[in-house]
Amino acid sequence: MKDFLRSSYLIPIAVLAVVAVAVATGGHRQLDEKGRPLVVWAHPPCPPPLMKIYNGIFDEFRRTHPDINLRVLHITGNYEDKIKVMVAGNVAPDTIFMYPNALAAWVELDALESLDTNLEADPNVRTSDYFTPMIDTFSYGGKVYGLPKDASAVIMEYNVDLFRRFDVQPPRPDWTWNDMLDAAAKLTRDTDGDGRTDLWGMTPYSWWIFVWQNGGRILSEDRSRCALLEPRAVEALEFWAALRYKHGVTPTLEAEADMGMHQMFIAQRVAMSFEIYPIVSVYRKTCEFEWDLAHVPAGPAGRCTEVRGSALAMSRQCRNKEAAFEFVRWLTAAPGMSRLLAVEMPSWKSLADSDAFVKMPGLPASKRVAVESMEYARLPLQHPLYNEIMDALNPALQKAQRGETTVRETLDHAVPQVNKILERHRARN
Amino acid sequence: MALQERRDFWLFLSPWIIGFILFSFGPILASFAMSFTDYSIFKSPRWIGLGNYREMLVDDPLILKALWNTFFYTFLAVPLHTAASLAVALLLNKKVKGIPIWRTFFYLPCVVSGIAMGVLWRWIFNPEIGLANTILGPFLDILRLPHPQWLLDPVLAKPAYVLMNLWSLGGGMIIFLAGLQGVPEHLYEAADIDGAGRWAQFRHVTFPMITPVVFFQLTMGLIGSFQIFAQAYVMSGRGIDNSTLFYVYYLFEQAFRYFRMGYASAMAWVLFAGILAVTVLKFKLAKRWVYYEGAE
Repeated sequence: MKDFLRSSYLIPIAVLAVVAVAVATGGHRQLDEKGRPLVVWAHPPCPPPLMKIYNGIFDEFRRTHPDINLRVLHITGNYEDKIKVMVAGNVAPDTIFMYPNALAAWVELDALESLDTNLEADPNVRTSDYFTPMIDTFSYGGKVYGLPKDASAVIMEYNVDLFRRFDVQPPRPDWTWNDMLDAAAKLTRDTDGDGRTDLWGMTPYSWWIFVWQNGGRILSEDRSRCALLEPRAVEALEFWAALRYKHGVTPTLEAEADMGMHQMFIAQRVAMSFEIYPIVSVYRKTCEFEWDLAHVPAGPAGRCTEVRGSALAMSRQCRNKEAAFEFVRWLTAAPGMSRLLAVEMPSWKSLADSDAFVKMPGLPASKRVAVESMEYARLPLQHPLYNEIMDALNPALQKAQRGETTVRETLDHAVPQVNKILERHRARN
Repeated sequence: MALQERRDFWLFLSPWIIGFILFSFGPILASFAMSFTDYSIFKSPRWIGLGNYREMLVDDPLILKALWNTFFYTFLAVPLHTAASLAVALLLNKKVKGIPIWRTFFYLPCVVSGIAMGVLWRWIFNPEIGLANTILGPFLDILRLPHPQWLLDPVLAKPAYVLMNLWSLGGGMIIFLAGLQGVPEHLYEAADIDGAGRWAQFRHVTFPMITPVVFFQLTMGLIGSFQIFAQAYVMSGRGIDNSTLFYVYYLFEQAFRYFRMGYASAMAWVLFAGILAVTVLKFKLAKRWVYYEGAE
């Protein structure tokens, strides 16, 4: 043993041990070297032009908040997975990006900090400053967990030139499902005469919007079972599925695999597209034809659409809650969002209503549709097992959409699966 | 001196031993314990006994689907891949001009990572713009046959994966080449004198002599195919109607999409048991057809 201690191996082993201890006990510090609170923001992957805008926002925050040290952690690849691993490793960033469907799972994993205390204490912000559906989307169990950044709901973008060329009346605010189907059928064509459809009337959009528009629900009121076998839901899903398998007004799977829906709209291979607001900034730059926005058509039970968008949340492991909340508040309110108006619609109401946003050059004629959609937008399904529920339902419903089975048959098989998932969740909690 | 040597031996081996204990054996044991729990990483694991195994057997219809997909792929891909590797190795074992170039050419796809291969073949199998239908299209049009939809067709999706697997036969080919070159020349001379033709020589000399290599290839191929993941992750995910929901892909979803670490661990142990059982069976059957030179 003495030989070993005297040997030349000792130094490298000691160095390795020190490194191992440093790694094991490392992690984020609370204060920087100047004693300022550190705030780590995990930024999701985004294209370079957008990153440039964000970098300007971060610089502005640092300039106006010299007492806070903002550090930006650039996440590449799958954002949600990576943040979850960081949370599990107890090195979570202070502030994180949040999507609507993910919120419930994050709250149940005890990974998020409620913002209620900060909201009560901060005179610069009230939840009523944001669009109500956006605040509701990022609330769970009566607590607010995220301040919404960009507001979006599914809206229609349509090719005015194609409507004009084929003498189809453009969408009106009182359009119903059947009006949409009539127009889509008139616009679906074989333009080069090779016997195959190459222009489709519309892109398909989320089946649950049809269910809601027909007065149906995905889950029962008490969330104990799947409610898709109820007649209103089945009727809505039959209409949705028939758009592809019966009427053929939405692109085939092959066409979809070839280009993707956005590209098909840009290439004028589809006349009506159903997307969320950020697509406007893409279409503004790429569409070489006249296009406009319209409301999603109303169903038999009225009009509704789905809230999307994103929010900034604080992790449970956040070490400087006040400083982190200040960053979240600042970025989601006018100071931060005013730089993002060219690409996103702000959730901060006064900014969305301002001339800076509404009168921005290059926007389509009916730009108010995006803001108006907030009046009837509905919360997405919030459930901690959202992914599992949708993975059980989507493939089954796509089968009906392809006409390989009926909606009723596919639901007879899928609904019990969802009920088992819900039952497992109840048993666990 | 002996002490010094012993010390050096353990010291140089220690990175591997420590690495194995910390990063392989430890997690293996942990996963076994985890398989009896409900564990999401974020909260403490909750003991549920055989609950995960029971759910796999009784309550999860997708397990059967994933097993069927994986078995279908394995029992089609492994024999085909082995046969094709052997066939190419036989061709490349000839003494013809430029043979190193041909060998390099066939081996080249093996240096491509699984992910890159997935991205490439996803494009090849694209029904509209992919290479496969661009080549086949004109012939199919003459015969008035529809263009295959490959990964978008629940029937063709798995055979498409088998086709893709054939592309990387270089690894097997190299091993077969080594095996073929180890067959003693005098056996062929003796067979020649006995009047054996090419097929008879292959059947009675070459194949028996390389059966250990065939056995090795089948065993490794089987183990690898049961674990197909990267290509599925990139190319089609679950696929239309779950047609490409392979077992390890489903395990990954359970672990990292649903964060059901306990269930995923149980799946991993069932897979381990399955592979072990098939491998043991293969070793038992190997006594009937694998010939080891020098063995009694």
